[in-house]
Amino acid sequence: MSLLEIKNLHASVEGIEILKGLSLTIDPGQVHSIMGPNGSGKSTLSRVIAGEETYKITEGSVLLNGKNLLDMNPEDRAREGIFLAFQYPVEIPGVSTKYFLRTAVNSIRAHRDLDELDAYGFLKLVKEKAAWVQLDPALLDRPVNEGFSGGEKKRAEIFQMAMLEPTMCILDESDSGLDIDALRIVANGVNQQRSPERGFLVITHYQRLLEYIVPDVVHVLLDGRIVRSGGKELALELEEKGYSWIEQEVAAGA
Amino acid sequence: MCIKTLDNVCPLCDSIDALAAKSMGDQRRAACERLHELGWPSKNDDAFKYCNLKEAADTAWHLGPNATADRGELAAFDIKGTDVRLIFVNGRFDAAASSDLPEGVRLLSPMLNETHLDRVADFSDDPFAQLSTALVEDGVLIEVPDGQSLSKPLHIVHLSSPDADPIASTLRVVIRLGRNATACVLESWGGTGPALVTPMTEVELKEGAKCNHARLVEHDDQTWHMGGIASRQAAGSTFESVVLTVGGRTVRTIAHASLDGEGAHAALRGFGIGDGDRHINSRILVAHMAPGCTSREIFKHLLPDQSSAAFAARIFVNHGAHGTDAVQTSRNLLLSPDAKSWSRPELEIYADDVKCTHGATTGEIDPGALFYLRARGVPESTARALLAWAFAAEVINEVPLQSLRSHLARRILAQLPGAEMLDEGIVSL
Repeated sequence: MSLLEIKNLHASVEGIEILKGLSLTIDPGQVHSIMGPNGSGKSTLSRVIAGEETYKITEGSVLLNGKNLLDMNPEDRAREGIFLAFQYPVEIPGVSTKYFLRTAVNSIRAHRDLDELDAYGFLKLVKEKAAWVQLDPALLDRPVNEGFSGGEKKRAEIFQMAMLEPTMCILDESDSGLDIDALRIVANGVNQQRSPERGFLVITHYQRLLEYIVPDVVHVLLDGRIVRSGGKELALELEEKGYSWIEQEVAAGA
Repeated sequence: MCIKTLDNVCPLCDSIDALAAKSMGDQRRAACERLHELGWPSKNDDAFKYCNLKEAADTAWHLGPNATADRGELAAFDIKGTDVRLIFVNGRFDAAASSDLPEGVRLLSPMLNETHLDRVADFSDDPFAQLSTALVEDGVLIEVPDGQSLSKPLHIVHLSSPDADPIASTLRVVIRLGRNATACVLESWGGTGPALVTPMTEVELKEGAKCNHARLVEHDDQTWHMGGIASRQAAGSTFESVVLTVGGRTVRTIAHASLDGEGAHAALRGFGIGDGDRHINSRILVAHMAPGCTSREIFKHLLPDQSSAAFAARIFVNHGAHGTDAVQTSRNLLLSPDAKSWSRPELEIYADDVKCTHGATTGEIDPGALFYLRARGVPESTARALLAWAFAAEVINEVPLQSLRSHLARRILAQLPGAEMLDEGIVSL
């Protein structure tokens, strides 16, 4: 069975259709990448999968391990295994990252019929996973994302992903605003989490990230639809030639 | 309060007469007279516009009976790290339940005539401040000489404990610190049953003195809490005060802070959580009388159910108080469609070269932050509670003593809708 199966997905916000019949299938263990120009619907796709309620789904289906995600609220999707690494992580003053994550980890564990982690077990896990993205554990005593640099925020997202052990990870421009060292650290953190059961959907503008997180499939998203799919070499071609040649080919074909 | 009941008698007036025969005769009688002039505040009275006092107005208040504190009830007010606790019930000292008085701390009851109450601020337009003066039987005088410190935080607990009749009670806390002296004073106000309490705290700080003050309002929902805080500061002194409302029916605080000496600093803060139709009302005056003083006001309220909050605050900058730096903030988070809030900032400035800012916001939980938490598997109700806490934390984190912050967290989480999964570990910053 496929891990994530999206069929003919139509989504709109404030009456404007953003996704116009998007289909995509990801098998366990695969890394898919979505590239596309600004406004093509990349972030919308990630948020629709995660369950943001501002988007209205007018048609289509999204299944995770055969379960209909569109019937679920965002927290249930997360418990079923969806994780979205946000492009712009939210700052939450007054709540430490550790406390917030303990709440999140234990809600997800309860859903999976696992016992709550005790303080010792939790801190051990925090230490181990923070090391994956070279995140200073002292940072985790600070309020969620508050006063974090751009790079720290992105690393913290990948760290949270490692803590929550999702099955389907969506990275929304996790490379934006990162210098080359930070990019390597983020990519390394993601690669540590690759496994035969886990799938990844990597949304990015730039081929550079895909040198470090090597995708099995690259898709081009244009005007709310996937118009081309290929291997990792497609990303190189896009880097070289931009999107206009695909736009022209699609226009000619239509 | 002094109102005529159906039988045309006011039980409190008789009590005030009896008290006046023993101490502060002229002062009590003058306060009682002023009370009669002012009358019971109505909704048309601007200073009480949002306080719904009708039910309190229709109540015949009595002076509380002599009573002692119930040990079980007292345990709920324990705050670790405050070894010195002075317990008062219905305005009177409960020696058996209290610690020994530490050095520099005395009871007011034997010295009411000599202490010169009400010399810090003019509350003559406030009927509840008058009531407080008319009814005061006891309290605490904290006098710390130049250069010395009150060794430990002093915790004053007042319980109202009515028997058959609804009661009015009060307590006076007088803090007088010498040059560079320091003190930390916590007040807890609790009790069950119908009560009208009028706490009054007066603070006088000499040059360079530092006073940290917190007032916790933890009554049940039958208590009208009409309190006051008056402070007067000499040059270079610091006064930090916070009123934390986690109980009570109507909780009103008038505060007058007068920055009399150059470079004095005052921080007045407030946090309150609503419950049912609780109303939290703050009326603040910060007067910058001398150059180079700083003041910070931040008041935040979490408002579920039909609760409401009103904030009216004035910054006064006197002629010649140049270099004034004053910030005033009022923020409310509405957690229900029936909750309400009002904010009224006022600036009155007679000096040049001053920096005065004020901001007032009323809002709801940010949907973006809510989605972020839910997308991490946190249930919606818990996520809302977590964000409500995050809103409050800016004030809570400034509260003195870790144990007091934990105590507050327990009280707040117990009243915050959806907080069942959260615990006091949330105070981890």
